[in-house]
Amino acid sequence: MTQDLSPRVTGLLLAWSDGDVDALSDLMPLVCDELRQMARRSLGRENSQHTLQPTALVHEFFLRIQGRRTVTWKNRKHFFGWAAQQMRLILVDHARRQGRKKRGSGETPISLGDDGEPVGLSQDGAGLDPEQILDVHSVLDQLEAIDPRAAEVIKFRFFVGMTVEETAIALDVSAATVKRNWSFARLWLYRALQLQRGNSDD
Amino acid sequence: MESMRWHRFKDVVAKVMEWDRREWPARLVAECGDDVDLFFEASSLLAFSPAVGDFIETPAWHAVSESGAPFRSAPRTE
Repeated sequence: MTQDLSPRVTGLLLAWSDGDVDALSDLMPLVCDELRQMARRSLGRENSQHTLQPTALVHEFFLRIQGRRTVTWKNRKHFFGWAAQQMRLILVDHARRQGRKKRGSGETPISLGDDGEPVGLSQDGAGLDPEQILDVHSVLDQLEAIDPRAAEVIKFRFFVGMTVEETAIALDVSAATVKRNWSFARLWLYRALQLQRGNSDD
Repeated sequence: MESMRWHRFKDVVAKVMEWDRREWPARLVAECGDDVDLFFEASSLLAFSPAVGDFIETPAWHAVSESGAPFRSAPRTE
Protein backbone atom coordinates (compact mmCIF):
# COMPACT_ATOMS: atom_id res chain seq x y z
CA MET A 1 0.00 0.00 0.00
CA THR A 2 1.55 3.25 -0.99
CA GLN A 3 1.03 6.58 0.65
CA ASP A 4 0.48 8.29 -2.78
CA LEU A 5 -2.86 6.55 -3.12
CA SER A 6 -4.17 8.04 0.10
CA PRO A 7 -5.46 11.44 -1.15
CA ARG A 8 -6.95 9.85 -4.26
CA VAL A 9 -8.76 7.13 -2.28
CA THR A 10 -10.05 9.69 0.23
CA GLY A 11 -11.21 11.98 -2.60
CA LEU A 12 -13.05 9.14 -4.31
CA LEU A 13 -14.64 8.04 -1.04
CA LEU A 14 -15.88 11.54 -0.34
CA ALA A 15 -17.18 11.91 -3.90
CA TRP A 16 -18.99 8.59 -3.65
CA SER A 17 -20.48 9.58 -0.29
CA ASP A 18 -21.70 12.80 -1.93
CA GLY A 19 -23.64 10.80 -4.48
CA ASP A 20 -21.12 10.53 -7.31
CA VAL A 21 -21.87 6.95 -8.34
CA ASP A 22 -19.06 6.94 -10.91
CA ALA A 23 -16.53 7.46 -8.13
CA LEU A 24 -17.13 3.88 -6.98
CA SER A 25 -15.96 2.53 -10.33
CA ASP A 26 -12.73 4.49 -9.99
CA LEU A 27 -12.33 3.57 -6.34
CA MET A 28 -12.85 -0.17 -6.52
CA PRO A 29 -9.88 -1.03 -8.76
CA LEU A 30 -7.60 0.83 -6.35
CA VAL A 31 -9.03 -0.87 -3.29
CA CYS A 32 -9.33 -4.30 -4.92
CA ASP A 33 -5.76 -4.14 -6.15
CA GLU A 34 -4.59 -3.37 -2.65
CA LEU A 35 -6.62 -6.20 -1.15
CA ARG A 36 -5.64 -8.66 -3.85
CA GLN A 37 -1.97 -7.85 -3.39
CA MET A 38 -2.32 -8.38 0.33
CA ALA A 39 -4.00 -11.73 -0.25
CA ARG A 40 -1.37 -12.86 -2.76
CA ARG A 41 1.45 -11.76 -0.50
CA SER A 42 -0.13 -13.44 2.48
CA LEU A 43 -0.76 -16.70 0.62
CA GLY A 44 2.47 -16.54 -1.33
CA ARG A 45 4.73 -16.48 1.70
CA GLU A 46 3.40 -19.82 2.89
CA ASN A 47 3.08 -22.37 0.12
CA SER A 48 1.49 -22.90 -3.26
CA GLN A 49 -1.13 -25.47 -2.25
CA HIS A 50 -3.85 -22.99 -1.39
CA THR A 51 -7.43 -23.43 -2.38
CA LEU A 52 -8.43 -19.98 -1.13
CA GLN A 53 -8.75 -17.66 -4.07
CA PRO A 54 -7.87 -14.03 -3.38
CA THR A 55 -10.10 -12.96 -6.25
CA ALA A 56 -13.11 -14.73 -4.73
CA LEU A 57 -12.46 -13.06 -1.42
CA VAL A 58 -12.18 -9.65 -3.05
CA HIS A 59 -15.35 -10.39 -5.04
CA GLU A 60 -17.23 -11.07 -1.81
CA PHE A 61 -15.85 -7.85 -0.42
CA PHE A 62 -17.01 -5.99 -3.54
CA LEU A 63 -20.56 -7.29 -3.04
CA ARG A 64 -20.53 -5.96 0.49
CA ILE A 65 -19.26 -2.51 -0.41
CA GLN A 66 -21.95 -2.10 -3.05
CA GLY A 67 -24.53 -2.29 -0.28
CA ARG A 68 -22.92 0.65 1.53
CA ARG A 69 -23.55 3.41 -0.98
CA THR A 70 -25.42 5.59 1.52
CA VAL A 71 -22.62 5.67 4.09
CA THR A 72 -20.63 8.88 4.44
CA TRP A 73 -16.97 7.94 4.54
CA LYS A 74 -14.98 10.38 6.65
CA ASN A 75 -11.63 9.48 5.12
CA ARG A 76 -9.48 6.63 3.92
CA LYS A 77 -8.85 5.46 7.49
CA HIS A 78 -12.59 5.19 8.14
CA PHE A 79 -13.04 3.21 4.94
CA PHE A 80 -10.18 0.79 5.57
CA GLY A 81 -11.44 0.24 9.12
CA TRP A 82 -14.76 -0.85 7.64
CA ALA A 83 -12.98 -2.89 4.96
CA ALA A 84 -10.94 -4.75 7.60
CA GLN A 85 -14.12 -5.58 9.52
CA GLN A 86 -15.71 -6.94 6.34
CA MET A 87 -12.68 -9.10 5.59
CA ARG A 88 -12.92 -10.40 9.13
CA LEU A 89 -16.61 -11.28 8.74
CA ILE A 90 -16.04 -12.98 5.38
CA LEU A 91 -13.27 -15.15 6.82
CA VAL A 92 -15.30 -15.91 9.94
CA ASP A 93 -18.27 -16.99 7.79
CA HIS A 94 -15.98 -19.28 5.87
CA ALA A 95 -14.41 -20.66 9.05
CA ARG A 96 -17.89 -21.34 10.47
CA ARG A 97 -18.81 -23.41 7.45
CA GLN A 98 -15.53 -25.32 7.68
CA GLY A 99 -16.02 -25.79 11.43
CA ARG A 100 -19.45 -27.30 10.91
CA LYS A 101 -18.02 -29.73 8.37
CA LYS A 102 -15.23 -30.68 10.77
CA ARG A 103 -17.57 -31.26 13.70
CA GLY A 104 -19.58 -33.48 11.40
CA SER A 105 -16.45 -35.51 10.77
CA GLY A 106 -16.09 -36.31 14.47
CA GLU A 107 -12.75 -34.58 15.02
CA THR A 108 -11.86 -33.88 18.64
CA PRO A 109 -12.41 -30.31 19.85
CA ILE A 110 -9.48 -28.39 21.33
CA SER A 111 -8.99 -28.65 25.08
CA LEU A 112 -6.32 -28.02 27.69
CA GLY A 113 -3.82 -30.80 28.36
CA ASP A 114 -2.48 -31.95 31.74
CA ASP A 115 0.17 -29.26 31.67
CA GLY A 116 -2.45 -26.58 31.10
CA GLU A 117 -1.29 -26.05 27.54
CA PRO A 118 -3.93 -26.24 24.86
CA VAL A 119 -3.98 -29.51 22.99
CA GLY A 120 -4.14 -28.94 19.27
CA LEU A 121 -3.27 -25.26 19.35
CA SER A 122 -0.13 -24.85 17.32
CA GLN A 123 2.29 -22.18 18.38
CA ASP A 124 2.47 -20.89 14.87
CA GLY A 125 -0.31 -19.29 12.94
CA ALA A 126 0.05 -21.71 10.06
CA GLY A 127 -1.39 -24.38 12.33
CA LEU A 128 -4.48 -22.33 13.17
CA ASP A 129 -7.68 -24.19 12.57
CA PRO A 130 -10.85 -22.49 11.28
CA GLU A 131 -12.34 -23.15 14.74
CA GLN A 132 -9.51 -21.11 16.20
CA ILE A 133 -10.30 -18.23 13.88
CA LEU A 134 -13.77 -18.25 15.42
CA ASP A 135 -12.21 -18.25 18.89
CA VAL A 136 -10.03 -15.26 18.01
CA HIS A 137 -13.10 -13.57 16.54
CA SER A 138 -15.03 -14.03 19.80
CA VAL A 139 -12.31 -12.70 22.12
CA LEU A 140 -11.58 -9.88 19.70
CA ASP A 141 -15.09 -8.59 20.39
CA GLN A 142 -14.15 -8.41 24.08
CA LEU A 143 -10.97 -6.52 23.29
CA GLU A 144 -12.81 -4.16 20.95
CA ALA A 145 -15.18 -3.19 23.78
CA ILE A 146 -12.22 -2.20 25.97
CA ASP A 147 -9.67 -1.02 23.42
CA PRO A 148 -10.89 -0.30 19.87
CA ARG A 149 -7.42 0.75 18.65
CA ALA A 150 -5.76 -2.51 19.69
CA ALA A 151 -8.63 -4.50 18.15
CA GLU A 152 -8.28 -2.57 14.92
CA VAL A 153 -4.59 -3.44 14.70
CA ILE A 154 -5.50 -7.13 15.08
CA LYS A 155 -8.10 -6.83 12.34
CA PHE A 156 -5.65 -5.24 9.92
CA ARG A 157 -2.76 -7.56 10.74
CA PHE A 158 -4.54 -10.89 11.26
CA PHE A 159 -7.74 -10.67 9.24
CA VAL A 160 -6.50 -8.51 6.35
CA GLY A 161 -2.87 -9.61 6.45
CA MET A 162 -1.33 -6.13 6.40
CA THR A 163 2.26 -5.52 7.47
CA VAL A 164 3.09 -3.20 10.37
CA GLU A 165 3.87 -0.41 7.92
CA GLU A 166 0.66 -0.91 5.92
CA THR A 167 -1.37 -0.91 9.12
CA ALA A 168 0.33 2.29 10.27
CA ILE A 169 -0.62 4.02 7.01
CA ALA A 170 -4.18 2.71 7.07
CA LEU A 171 -4.67 3.85 10.67
CA ASP A 172 -2.67 7.05 10.26
CA VAL A 173 -0.41 6.27 13.23
CA SER A 174 3.29 5.50 13.60
CA ALA A 175 4.73 2.03 12.99
CA ALA A 176 5.90 2.06 16.63
CA THR A 177 2.29 2.54 17.79
CA VAL A 178 1.18 -0.39 15.63
CA LYS A 179 3.98 -2.58 17.01
CA ARG A 180 3.11 -1.75 20.62
CA ASN A 181 -0.59 -2.40 20.05
CA TRP A 182 0.13 -5.61 18.15
CA SER A 183 2.41 -7.06 20.84
CA PHE A 184 0.03 -6.14 23.61
CA ALA A 185 -3.16 -7.26 21.84
CA ARG A 186 -1.67 -10.57 20.69
CA LEU A 187 -0.69 -11.39 24.26
CA TRP A 188 -4.04 -10.24 25.67
CA LEU A 189 -5.99 -12.32 23.12
CA TYR A 190 -3.83 -15.36 23.75
CA ARG A 191 -4.52 -15.18 27.48
CA ALA A 192 -8.24 -14.55 26.91
CA LEU A 193 -8.40 -17.68 24.75
CA GLN A 194 -6.59 -19.79 27.33
CA LEU A 195 -8.93 -18.60 30.06
CA GLN A 196 -11.98 -19.16 27.86
CA ARG A 197 -10.87 -22.70 27.05
CA GLY A 198 -10.03 -23.37 30.68
CA ASN A 199 -13.51 -22.26 31.75
CA SER A 200 -15.24 -24.30 29.08
CA ASP A 201 -13.37 -27.40 30.29
CA ASP A 202 -14.58 -26.95 33.90
CA MET B 1 -11.12 -1.80 34.24
CA GLU B 2 -11.81 1.89 33.71
CA SER B 3 -10.39 3.59 30.65
CA MET B 4 -7.54 5.50 32.31
CA ARG B 5 -6.53 2.39 34.23
CA TRP B 6 -6.65 0.26 31.09
CA HIS B 7 -4.39 2.63 29.19
CA ARG B 8 -1.90 2.69 32.04
CA PHE B 9 -1.96 -1.10 32.21
CA LYS B 10 -1.50 -1.40 28.43
CA ASP B 11 1.26 1.18 28.43
CA VAL B 12 3.19 -0.62 31.17
CA VAL B 13 2.88 -4.02 29.50
CA ALA B 14 3.84 -2.66 26.08
CA LYS B 15 6.84 -0.78 27.48
CA VAL B 16 8.10 -3.78 29.41
CA MET B 17 7.75 -6.02 26.34
CA GLU B 18 10.12 -3.78 24.42
CA TRP B 19 12.95 -4.95 26.69
CA ASP B 20 14.84 -8.19 26.74
CA ARG B 21 12.85 -10.71 28.81
CA ARG B 22 15.56 -10.89 31.48
CA GLU B 23 14.98 -7.19 32.14
CA TRP B 24 11.23 -7.52 32.58
CA PRO B 25 11.04 -7.89 36.39
CA ALA B 26 13.19 -4.79 36.95
CA ARG B 27 11.33 -2.80 34.26
CA LEU B 28 7.99 -3.85 35.72
CA VAL B 29 8.97 -2.67 39.17
CA ALA B 30 10.26 0.60 37.74
CA GLU B 31 7.11 1.21 35.65
CA CYS B 32 4.60 0.28 38.35
CA GLY B 33 6.24 2.08 41.27
CA ASP B 34 4.00 1.75 44.33
CA ASP B 35 1.02 0.54 42.37
CA VAL B 36 0.91 -3.07 43.55
CA ASP B 37 -2.36 -3.88 41.78
CA LEU B 38 -0.93 -2.70 38.48
CA PHE B 39 2.19 -4.78 39.09
CA PHE B 40 0.12 -7.94 39.58
CA GLU B 41 -2.20 -7.22 36.66
CA ALA B 42 0.71 -6.59 34.31
CA SER B 43 2.82 -9.49 35.55
CA SER B 44 -0.10 -11.93 35.27
CA LEU B 45 -0.53 -10.99 31.61
CA LEU B 46 3.20 -11.05 30.89
CA ALA B 47 3.38 -14.54 32.40
CA PHE B 48 1.62 -15.82 29.24
CA SER B 49 4.26 -14.33 26.98
CA PRO B 50 6.61 -17.36 26.74
CA ALA B 51 3.73 -19.49 25.43
CA VAL B 52 2.49 -17.06 22.79
CA GLY B 53 5.02 -18.08 20.14
CA ASP B 54 3.79 -17.15 16.66
CA PHE B 55 0.14 -17.06 17.67
CA ILE B 56 -1.89 -15.27 14.93
CA GLU B 57 1.31 -14.11 13.24
CA THR B 58 0.10 -15.78 10.05
CA PRO B 59 -2.94 -14.06 8.53
CA ALA B 60 -6.32 -15.76 8.83
CA TRP B 61 -6.56 -16.24 5.07
CA HIS B 62 -3.87 -18.84 5.26
CA ALA B 63 -5.60 -20.72 8.05
CA VAL B 64 -8.88 -20.80 6.17
CA SER B 65 -7.19 -21.98 3.01
CA GLU B 66 -5.35 -24.68 4.97
CA SER B 67 -8.71 -26.22 5.80
CA GLY B 68 -8.73 -27.65 2.30
CA ALA B 69 -12.03 -26.25 1.07
CA PRO B 70 -12.21 -23.82 -1.80
CA PHE B 71 -13.33 -20.36 -0.77
CA ARG B 72 -16.81 -19.52 -1.97
CA SER B 73 -18.85 -16.39 -1.65
CA ALA B 74 -21.04 -16.50 1.40
CA PRO B 75 -24.44 -14.91 1.90
CA ARG B 76 -24.27 -11.60 3.76
CA THR B 77 -24.47 -11.93 7.52
CA GLU B 78 -25.35 -8.34 8.39
